[in-house]
Amino acid sequence: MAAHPDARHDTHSTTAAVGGWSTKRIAITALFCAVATICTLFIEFPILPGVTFLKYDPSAIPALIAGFAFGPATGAVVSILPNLVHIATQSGIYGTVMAIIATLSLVLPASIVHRRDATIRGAVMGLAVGAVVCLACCILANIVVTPIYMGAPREAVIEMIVPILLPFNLFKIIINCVVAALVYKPVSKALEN
Amino acid sequence: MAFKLSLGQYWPSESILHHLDPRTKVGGALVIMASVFFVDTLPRLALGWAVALALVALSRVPAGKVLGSVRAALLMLTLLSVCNLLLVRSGEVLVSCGIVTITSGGVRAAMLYSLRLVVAVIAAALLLLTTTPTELTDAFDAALAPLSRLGLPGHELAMVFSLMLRFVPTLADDASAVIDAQTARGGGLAEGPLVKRIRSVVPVVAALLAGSLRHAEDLSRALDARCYEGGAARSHWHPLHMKMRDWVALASMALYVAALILLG
Amino acid sequence: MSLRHVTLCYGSGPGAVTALDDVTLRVRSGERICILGANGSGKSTLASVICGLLAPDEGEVVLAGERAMGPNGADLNAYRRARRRIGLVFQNPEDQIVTSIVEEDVAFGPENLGLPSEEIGIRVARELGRVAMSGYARSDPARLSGGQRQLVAIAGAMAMEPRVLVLDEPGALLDVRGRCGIMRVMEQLKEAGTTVIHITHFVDEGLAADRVIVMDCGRVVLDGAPEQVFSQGDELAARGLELPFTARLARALRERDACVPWTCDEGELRAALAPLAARAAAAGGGPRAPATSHCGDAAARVDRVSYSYHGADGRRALEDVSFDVARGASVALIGQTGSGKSTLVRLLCALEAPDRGRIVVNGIDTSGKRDRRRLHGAVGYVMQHPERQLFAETVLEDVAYGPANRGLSDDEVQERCARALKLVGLEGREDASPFRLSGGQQRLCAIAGVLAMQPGILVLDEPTAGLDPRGREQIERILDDIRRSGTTIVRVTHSIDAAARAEQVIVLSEARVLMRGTPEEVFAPAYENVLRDTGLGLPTALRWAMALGLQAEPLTMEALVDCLVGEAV
Ligand SMILES: Nc1ncnc2c1ncn2[C@@H]1O[C@H](COP(=O)(O)OP(=O)(O)OP(=O)(O)O)[C@@H](O)[C@H]1O
Ligand SMILES: Nc1ncnc2c1ncn2[C@@H]1O[C@H](COP(=O)(O)OP(=O)(O)OP(=O)(O)O)[C@@H](O)[C@H]1O
Ligand SMILES: [Mg+2]
Ligand SMILES: [Mg+2]
Repeated sequence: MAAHPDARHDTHSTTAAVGGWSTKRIAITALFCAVATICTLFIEFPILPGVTFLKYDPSAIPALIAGFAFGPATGAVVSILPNLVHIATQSGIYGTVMAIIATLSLVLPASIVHRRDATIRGAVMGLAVGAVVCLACCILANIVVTPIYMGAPREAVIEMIVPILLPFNLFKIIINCVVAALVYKPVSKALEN
Repeated sequence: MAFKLSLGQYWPSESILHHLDPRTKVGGALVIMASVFFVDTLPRLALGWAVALALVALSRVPAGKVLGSVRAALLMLTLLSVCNLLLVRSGEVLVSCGIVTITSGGVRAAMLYSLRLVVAVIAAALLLLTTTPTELTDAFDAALAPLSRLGLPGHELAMVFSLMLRFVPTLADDASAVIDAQTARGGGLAEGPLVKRIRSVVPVVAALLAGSLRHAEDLSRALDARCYEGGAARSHWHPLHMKMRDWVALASMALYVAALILLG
Repeated sequence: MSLRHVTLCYGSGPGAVTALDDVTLRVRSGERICILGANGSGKSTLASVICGLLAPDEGEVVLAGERAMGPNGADLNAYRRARRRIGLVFQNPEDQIVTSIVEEDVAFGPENLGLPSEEIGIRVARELGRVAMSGYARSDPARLSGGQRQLVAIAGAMAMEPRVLVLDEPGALLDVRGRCGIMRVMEQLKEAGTTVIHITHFVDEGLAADRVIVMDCGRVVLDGAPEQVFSQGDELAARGLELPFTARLARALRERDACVPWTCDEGELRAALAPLAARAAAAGGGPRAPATSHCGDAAARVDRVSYSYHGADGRRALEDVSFDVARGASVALIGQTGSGKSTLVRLLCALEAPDRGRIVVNGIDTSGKRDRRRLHGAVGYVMQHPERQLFAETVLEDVAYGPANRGLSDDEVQERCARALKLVGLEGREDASPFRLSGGQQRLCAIAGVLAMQPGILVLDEPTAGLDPRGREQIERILDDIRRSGTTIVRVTHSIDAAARAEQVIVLSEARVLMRGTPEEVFAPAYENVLRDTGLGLPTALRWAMALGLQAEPLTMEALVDCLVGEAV
């Protein structure tokens, strides 16, 4: 699939995208951001029944799809903007920073790899690379940011890596990759349209 | 499934906070939220709370509204306290049974760290209660102005942000329509085993994305039809102006930060 | 403004669709034009070309005096200048409101034109006043009804003071009052010298225009003054359109050998009918059809139900609503926009439990979550924009979603899908993507998905909105078919004439039940004012009968014709 909203479609366009973004690109990016916002705000659900705070939210999926379909820059925007609304929710600045790190570190590597090699193989490679980078970043971020936020000593956080952080993040990343792969097929039909 | 939106909770009123320039408000709120992380003694905590309560009074927003936001964060705050209670081990041991050890340092951390977060929650809630989405976008635009000067699409990103806020309710309706349609036909975001729940997310997200492409096509033409040609060419109906009160507000913020440092 | 030999194709290769095919059109300044045509005939595409939003593949385009497209291709600068003088109100108002506050949205266009701040303020106040939305200046568009959003979109387009304004189906989502309001705004615009181009599926609205253009398969097939175009009834019927009520009435009367001239001018026909009417009135009121009373068990019973949405500041979407739906009946639910129809329907389908009161469907109370699950599937739900409820990759998968969820065997599922698809006439399209179907076909696909569940009760929320006359007729026929097989039908509609054909009518107004009963009971001359005050009206046939001074109260055109010539012949 072609990799740029400006490049697709339009022999019919009557606007020139000089310098800035075309309206088409603005519109698509904004709508993908809105989908991601809805994913973080509403479609989250607990991973383990009963453990209500370990939530999975699928907001990385629109970002991944945007990254694959329209390139890393769009993917990065869709990773960052929707998470800004977290400032307004209970998770505050901490939630915002962590969510941005988690999404961006998955989407950027994945879409950069996919841009080099826009095939199924490239997509799978991209997801794999993204998953590894993301896992590392999430754990690093937890070690650096969480103590400042929670006040718990850094050693305590490091102790939690293997029993809690690692499995939880790995699990989240795998679900994201699998769902993104499943969603991509039906959406790519709509994208061609 | 009915969706509750926590954005767009603007509470119209004529208070000083409502009339401040949105750039001042966003900047101030960010300063307060960030400063909270340096609150680690009781006097500093008291100062933070004093500022938060003063702002609530100034905003003339009913306290219940602000309280609502705090209540939403209650679960997270409790969780945080419990973590601290169990993880922090300093001072004298109060309770020790099995692997659970509660120390006086833990109790202090549990109180301090959750109470200081309430200040941040109040600041965020006040920002949203006193600022319209359009003003927020204007502030965002101003924050991105340096990007535009570097030739990057700053104005356009601000536009994306504004359109995102505008389309969240629209797409939420779409999402609930798909979920309704599935539920009415015996499917939906069901309870049940994890695999089933994950599988039921797929059609919802796919339909949302497909729908968003449909909206995007119309929206881009709507922007063209209304002659949107990038941020540079636009005029503003209500251009932003820093007034005296904004400078006073900024000065007060500076005072607050200075006091926080001095209190030690 | 003129188009010459304009052709536009979407896509390329074998899947390409020719949306406009050699269209040549001249629009004089100050004209009011009405464009009619079946679904997918290229009306919206033409609107976009006229507004300079789409450049055609071939042909010449001159917009607002700018030569935008010539033999050398598109001139983007000319397009840019032309767009500043042309306004467009889209088919779907939702997608063209770009900010979260009404007045900011109206100001968006003028801001883009770079106008000074004071001028913007003046225009915003003026245009909001003109569409009677001043009271909503600071509202959030997401909280407005569809009709109100449409008005905001119109104000936003007018604030740019375009010389040409194109409105794409502005009345599709509106109640009767809303549609009248839009017709009035167009009248004002024309008086102010603006060229108005109006796209619609309501043929009667064409009568108010100076010129009517009929499109079919991307071509302009008829073009002329309204009388001239509507005199070619067969031609129109072949294009999937119908005639205005007046013309249909005149034709039906002439077929019954009444001596009236063929005309589509209301006054003229009325004058010609005066002698017939006098005779019919003297003959006394024909017997009104006796009110059919249903005893027998109720398929659904709604008992003092109240409901409000979260975050709606305590405002009720439904308040103390009670009624019964007899098994096998067909019920029409009408009411102005925002009166709570869709909400009521959601509750009936057990998607939500009422705050107060009880809803019992098929003997099952909907307040318990587990009970609600049992009802899903037994009650079929076709929602307001059924095309939005499609989510699967192929038509077949989408239709099979419901039956497969009920755990039926594969053969059974296949068989049900085949039958449902055949009923709606989509057999042969099983493997197509639902997103590639036309608007009308998407709706049929959504209906097939519900029919495949074989529900005992079928609930439809405005199933014909936005469809052309042929599509509407097709859906009416499908509904008649399944009703004959014993299915109970509850349907929301904005069309009074369609409601008059139901067995029972329920009128909602501002969250309450205003009236209910048989169409004969509800649509009586005595209630004309009540209905008008709620933004509704009487069926067209009844209004004619009243204007002609008849004693009888016919609800459909056939009944009206019977009254006029029935006994007389
Ligand atoms: N973006 C698009 N990509 C591909 N095909 C399209 C697109 N938009 C429209 N079409 C096709 O072009 C044809 C004309 O569409 P158009 O929307 O102009 O019809 P219309 O007369 O406005 O119909 P309606 O009454 O349903 O609004 C249709 O066959 C439609 O399927
Ligand atoms: N999700 C929602 N959240 C809050 N309020 C809502 C929601 N949906 C509808 N409402 C409000 O409830 C009322 C009834 O809405 P409903 O959609 O049932 O009206 P309707 O009769 O179907 O209108 P229409 O003819 O425009 O479809 C309206 O005032 C509307 O603003
Ligand atoms: Mg159209
Ligand atoms: Mg409705």
